[in-house]
Amino acid sequence: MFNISRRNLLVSSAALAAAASVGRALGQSDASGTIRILMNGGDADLANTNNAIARFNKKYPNFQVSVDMDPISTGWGDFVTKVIGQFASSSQYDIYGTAIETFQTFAARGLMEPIDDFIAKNPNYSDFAPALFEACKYQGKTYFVPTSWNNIMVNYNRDLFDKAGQAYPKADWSWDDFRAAAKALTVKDGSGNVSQWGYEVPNQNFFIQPWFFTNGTGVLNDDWSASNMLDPKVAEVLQFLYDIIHVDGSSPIPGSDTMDNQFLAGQVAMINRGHWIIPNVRNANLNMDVVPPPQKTTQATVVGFGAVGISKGAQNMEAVQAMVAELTGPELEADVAKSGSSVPGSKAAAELPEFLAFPPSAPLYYQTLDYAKAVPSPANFLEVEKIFIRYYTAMMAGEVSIADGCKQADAELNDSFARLKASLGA
Amino acid sequence: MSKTAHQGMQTKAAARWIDRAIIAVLVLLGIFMLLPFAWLFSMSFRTVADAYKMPPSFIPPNLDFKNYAAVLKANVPFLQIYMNSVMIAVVVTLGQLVTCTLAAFAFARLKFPGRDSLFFILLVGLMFPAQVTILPIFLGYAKTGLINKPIGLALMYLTSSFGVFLMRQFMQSQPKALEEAALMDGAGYLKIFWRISLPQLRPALSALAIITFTQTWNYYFQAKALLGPQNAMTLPLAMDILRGYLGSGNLAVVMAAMSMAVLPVVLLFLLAQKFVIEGVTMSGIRG
Amino acid sequence: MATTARHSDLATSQMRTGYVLVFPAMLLYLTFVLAPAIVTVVLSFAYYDPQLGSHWVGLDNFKRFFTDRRSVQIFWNTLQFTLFAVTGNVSVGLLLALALNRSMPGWLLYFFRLAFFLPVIIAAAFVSIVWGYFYQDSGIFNYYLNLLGLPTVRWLTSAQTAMPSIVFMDVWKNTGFFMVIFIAALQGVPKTIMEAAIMDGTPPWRRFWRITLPWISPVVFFAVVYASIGALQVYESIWILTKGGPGDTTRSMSINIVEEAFGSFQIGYAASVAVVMTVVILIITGMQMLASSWLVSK
Repeated sequence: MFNISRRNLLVSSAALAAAASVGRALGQSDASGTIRILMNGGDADLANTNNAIARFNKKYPNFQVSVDMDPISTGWGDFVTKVIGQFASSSQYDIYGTAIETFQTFAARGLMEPIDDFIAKNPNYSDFAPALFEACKYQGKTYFVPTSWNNIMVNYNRDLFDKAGQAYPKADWSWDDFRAAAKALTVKDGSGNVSQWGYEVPNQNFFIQPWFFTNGTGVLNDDWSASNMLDPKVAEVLQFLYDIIHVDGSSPIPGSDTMDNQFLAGQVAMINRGHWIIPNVRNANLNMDVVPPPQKTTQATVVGFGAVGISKGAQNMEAVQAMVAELTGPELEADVAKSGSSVPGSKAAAELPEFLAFPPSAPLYYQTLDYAKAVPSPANFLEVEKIFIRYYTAMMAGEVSIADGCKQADAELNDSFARLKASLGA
Repeated sequence: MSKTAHQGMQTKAAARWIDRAIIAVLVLLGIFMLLPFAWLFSMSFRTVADAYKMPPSFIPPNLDFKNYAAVLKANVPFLQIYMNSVMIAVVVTLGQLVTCTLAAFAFARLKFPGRDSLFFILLVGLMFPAQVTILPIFLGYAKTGLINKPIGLALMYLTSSFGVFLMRQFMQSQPKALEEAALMDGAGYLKIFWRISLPQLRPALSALAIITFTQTWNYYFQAKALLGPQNAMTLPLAMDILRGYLGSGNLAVVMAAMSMAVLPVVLLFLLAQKFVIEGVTMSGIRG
Repeated sequence: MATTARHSDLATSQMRTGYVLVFPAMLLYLTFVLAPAIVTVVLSFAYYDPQLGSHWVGLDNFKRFFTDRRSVQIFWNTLQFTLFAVTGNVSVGLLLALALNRSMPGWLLYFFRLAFFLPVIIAAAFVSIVWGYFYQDSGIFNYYLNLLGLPTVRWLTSAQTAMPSIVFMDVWKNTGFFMVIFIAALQGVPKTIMEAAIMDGTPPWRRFWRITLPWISPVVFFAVVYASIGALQVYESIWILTKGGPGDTTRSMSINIVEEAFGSFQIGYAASVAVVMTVVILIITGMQMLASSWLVSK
């Protein structure tokens, strides 16, 4: 339902230069006030935000801008509840940096200001994929400006492939190729200790999605309005992952911790991650490359993206909009590209040499957008994610059979959708 | 005569051996208890690759402070967060010492209408999990502007049913004779509380102080619910940030941050443990 | 006459002092515990959503709880954890206290206090991260198990072992607290009675049953009640170690409430689970208190 066409992204980068000159032409404003921003992510994102604030303050020197960061260390559920609580208690921020997972939840509740006019007036955004903006719409109105995105790739440790005498995976590899590689890359020592895992069967909703998409299916139906857990292809995916763990022994059972650290320590050969892992990989001097997820019936991966929105009824709307323009402008896009925390939304920024320098197959990030599908994000995403992960971990641990797990998850998901419909109707 | 003496010597010797065996087991147990801390400190000096290497070694290859620098260099205002934790724990501890002791004295020693029902109502609170009370408090704080302020978290724990209960238990186990004598001499209740009960309660007070301090230091989800922005956070929340987006943070850096969070508490405990534990272990009248 | 006057004076003064002394605690208690708890009870009969609109739903939230087969498991998990954690903490704490309640060199005592009490004062949110690292499938514990020729244990990723692993860490973390409480109680056992028993040649085991245990039994009951209340509310350690998984096998009622309220924004439903949980705690601790007053008075 959400295929970003590459053509859409290939809008001339001349627009970027044009946009920059428009910005420069603006004079200083003597309006004053305060703006509070809540962004998400880590150190790099905070630095990028601070740069944007500095640029904003050149035009609006009398505005006090404060920024808080939410690390999203436990997923988007806690973040959403926090934001809803802020609105319920009138302590909301003026600007929110958030992600697709939350769009429908926020928009359905009327927390955000529709910004179609603002977007139409801003020439910078012509360089962004229209499909990105399409996903920022809810019932015909746009509520967010996309800033950066992440698609899931298989990240693999090239040194470990070399040591095992395995050829590096090709972009069109199959599930079977993958499974064989994972097996070949698993190393046990004399006493039965696994000293190196071939793969980390993922434990996060976002990381798991490519497995469903490459089998032409999904946890939810295409318009995210009901469960699709009873599709036999879903069970097929789960069985495949289960076998990697329990038949091949190429992966530990997914627990509550992700295995980023073990990957950096060279104890896991392959993991599903997005671009945010790159700064850590560089720090650890890991000889790593990326390859699109292996395919069964179709080539596919998942994309999720970050965006910025304005709170309903925010004060000083003109300045707030100017701030949002900085938070989504060409300089910020360049900062994102350089810091490597995500893939920038603007194509021009993603072609900067800093972005393409590492990993060797960095251009693949953009190329896979051809067939990337958005992470399913209905207005009850919070519940959907929890229900799915709960059954998924139980099935991977062998605590419930895959047939029963799918059936029970299906029932719970549909209960949740029924509740959602009831509350939206009320 | 001599036979019993001989037996006595035998049992004494046996008892000494049992003593030694028990102590040996305790030493092993004690070392086991400390292992997680040893590992915590050890890992804080390693690179990620080194931290996951098997066989594990508890002694870091070299004293590399890079992870510590990474914590302080990170955009997490670590020192500010540290001070928030200390402030909250100190305010709550002092607050509970005062409010709980006063109330406990009234419940243990004074007769007044409604005393038992008031105490019962208070005790019921012991069984209210924080999950039951946090949401209304969150909404109330937001209305009154206490949200996102460390003092807000401290405020809600200035008294505790547990503290009152504990102090009352201690007071009831103490002889009333001295107090009754003072009453006969015409001393007022406040004077009796101050002059007679309180000095006897020193061990109980230190017990309450440790319990409260550590509990407050531990608050995780309460802090998560009430303290959003980084400069208002407490230490357990800082670890969440350092663990990164979906767990992508460097665990060795997290260990360095935890070492820093833990070290002053450990030092404080090493220096003050005489007061801390003897307060609890020495019961009653000696004070 | 004079004595009665003095008596009524005393009564009024007791009354006045009593109210003044309980006032701060009662006021704070009212504001931060009782009133919020009542609001939560009210919320449990509602669908609460400040943006989409709130409305009363009667007993629907409770109906959902009692007809959901997950509730049973989560409820059972919590009881299971409580049973094992309380037994472990109190019995290990008592054993440690008995073992430590003897003369030994000062430095040794110092070491023991440090070793056994240190975990108590370090936040569960911290130590759970370290233990999570120990418990990994290819972590330190399994490394040594395999070295000894034993099979790998899936500490946190199997239904059979995940809960025991969490209990094990909980006992490591909290037993020192009960140890300290018990040492205090043991020191209160009158030396004269104990010495007389020793003179009479009463063996140590019987001295423990006949003198020590009855003497410290109020403290033991206090410890059991206190440990139970804490265990029934267990949150941090489970959240950091397993997030309640695999599946629902280690999910506690507290985690369920927080997930429903702060994760899924089902405030009304979370409130109803919280109410049920409070009632459960009330019943269990009430029974323990009754049992303790019955046994102690006997």
